[in-house]
Amino acid sequence: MTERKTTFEGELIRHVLAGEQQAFQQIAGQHAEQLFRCALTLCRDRQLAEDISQETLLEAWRSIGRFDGRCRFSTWLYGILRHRFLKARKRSTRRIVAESLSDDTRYSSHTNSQPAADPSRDSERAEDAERVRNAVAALPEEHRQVIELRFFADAKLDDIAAVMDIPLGTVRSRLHNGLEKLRQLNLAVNLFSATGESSVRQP
Amino acid sequence: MNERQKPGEMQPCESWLEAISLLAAECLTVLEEAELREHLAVCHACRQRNEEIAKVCFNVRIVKPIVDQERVLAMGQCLQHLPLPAKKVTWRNRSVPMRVAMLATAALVLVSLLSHLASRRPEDNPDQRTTIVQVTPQLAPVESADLQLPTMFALRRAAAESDDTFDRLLAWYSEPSLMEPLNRHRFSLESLQ
Repeated sequence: MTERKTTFEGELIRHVLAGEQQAFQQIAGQHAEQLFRCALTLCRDRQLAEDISQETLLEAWRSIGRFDGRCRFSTWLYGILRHRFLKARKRSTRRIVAESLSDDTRYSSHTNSQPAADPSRDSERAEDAERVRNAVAALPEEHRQVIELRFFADAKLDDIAAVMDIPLGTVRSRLHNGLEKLRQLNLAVNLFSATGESSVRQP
Repeated sequence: MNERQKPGEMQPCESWLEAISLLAAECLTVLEEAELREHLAVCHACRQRNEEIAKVCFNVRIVKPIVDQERVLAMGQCLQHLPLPAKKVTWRNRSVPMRVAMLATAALVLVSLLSHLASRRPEDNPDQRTTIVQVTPQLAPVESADLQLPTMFALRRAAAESDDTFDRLLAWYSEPSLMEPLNRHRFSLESLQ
């Protein structure tokens, strides 16, 4: 089979529905990282998140015939992910240890691309990152999950609704309330000055 | 003027707060964003709030944890040897010999059922079946109690007569076979004597 260069999801899905494994591998590769981040937000355990994401992709392949195109493919995947997460939580005998994301002092890729000017500034940015992570972690669970799914997993609102099994309006209000709480926690300041304030969108 | 914008309200920006947060989170539709930007152009307070929320979103985005790409690649490895998805089997998908075999089996089952019904014995007829009748015990009407007991007068007289007469009187009443005639005829001390 010739290597397909298309990135158009609808086209890929048509090939997947026709039973082409390579098309599914391609589309799964596009969603794998988001699924993993999403699973990590739900279970806070990297190993378990990896298992759940893998199971989600396998389940998606097995039941691809049931995808009717009424929602986006990613929303359908997130629905399976939620189901897998609930199943894993039920069957898991081991205690799901909440992984402390604050231990991870690494920045996201676009901040890593900025060379560190000097060690003192680097430590200052690490402190800022710690402060933001602590503020996000201090949010109520339902707000924290929505914030993390949106900003860490890049999930769209209807995907978040599918993962959390809540209405879209609730997702919107939780996202707003979460951001409002973070604003009240004095996060509406210019942190990470070295990475540039220009990336903040201005009206 | 947008319908959500009500002039004269004390806090006109209250109805725009959620939209401002969603704009910063890049979750508004094109139409909603156009409406909000129209409002932001004329409202200083909302513009200020938008800047604050935008800073919050920027700060949160920047601490997005790094995902180990090796893990993501490892997830993809499981997809290298995918089993074929289970196709839904319909009647049309089945081969002709399979259809014939299924029809033959169904016909065989049907014939055996019909033959079983036809070969029923007469006693299997519902009209001739033995019915279990549940008999509930019924209490017979008790005749008047004073006929079954000696009167106080008879007891006193028997006691006054002798102990033997008194014992005979009691024995008379204690014997069940004697209860029936006693019920019909009043006991009299003369009959005992």
